Amino acid sequence: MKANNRTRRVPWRTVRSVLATQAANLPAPSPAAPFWAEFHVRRARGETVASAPGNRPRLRLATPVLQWTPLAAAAAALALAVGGWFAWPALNAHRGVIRSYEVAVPHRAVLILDNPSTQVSILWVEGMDAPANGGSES
Amino acid sequence: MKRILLPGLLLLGLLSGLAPTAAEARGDGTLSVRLVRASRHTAGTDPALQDVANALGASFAFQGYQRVAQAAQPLPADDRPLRLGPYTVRCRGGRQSLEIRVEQGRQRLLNTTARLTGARPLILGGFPAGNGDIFVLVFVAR
Repeated sequence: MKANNRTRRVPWRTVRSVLATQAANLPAPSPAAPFWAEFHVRRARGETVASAPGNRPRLRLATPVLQWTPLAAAAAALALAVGGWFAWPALNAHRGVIRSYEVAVPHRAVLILDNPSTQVSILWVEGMDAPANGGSES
Repeated sequence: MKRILLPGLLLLGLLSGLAPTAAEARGDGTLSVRLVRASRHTAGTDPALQDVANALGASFAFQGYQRVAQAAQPLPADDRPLRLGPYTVRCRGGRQSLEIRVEQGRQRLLNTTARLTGARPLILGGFPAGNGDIFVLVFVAR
């Protein structure tokens, strides 16, 4: 018996029509269907809150981190305070007490001293060419 | 609550340490100006200079310090002339930017702009007083 190896040729329009029919008969994908089904049931019951909170799942990895947060924040604040304490004079070094000066008489030199140990700021004009006065109590 | 208490206190302490004092922030207070004769020959420090004696002694090598004149005015200063011995001192502005002019008669000697922090003294010096002595002006804001 001779095998029938002939293949039936189907027009592409027929194929398209069959596929379109199959697609039309398939139900629309609805991954949220279970949720909405439960939602409608709960709404019918008049529930406005979640039924039972149960035990909130805790993240095992996050919990230790959150417990260390206050200590880390305290350490950061302490480091900031200590750093600021030491860096403050350097940060303000350019903001000296004496911001500007002008000596209107001949002189040899001008010295500006900011002595942090004695807590005093000095503007000293050396060799000022001004009349010497004995001064008097006022 | 406890979690934020300690960092909050530390942060508050930090901010309070860095922030200017209330008087500095308002720019008020009183500016005291003293004319001091720094002597190379006469030892001893005037009791009226007790609050700045350490600063003077640690900063200069004079034998003694005598107060010659003193004046005060409220801050912010209003450019009112202060007569201090042979000098006229005019101050204008507040603690953050105090403009100081020192004149002797009609002769202008020195102009400077300074920032006064707390009760830290500001000394303008080098005015010749004769006999090797020197006049210094001591500014203190309180």
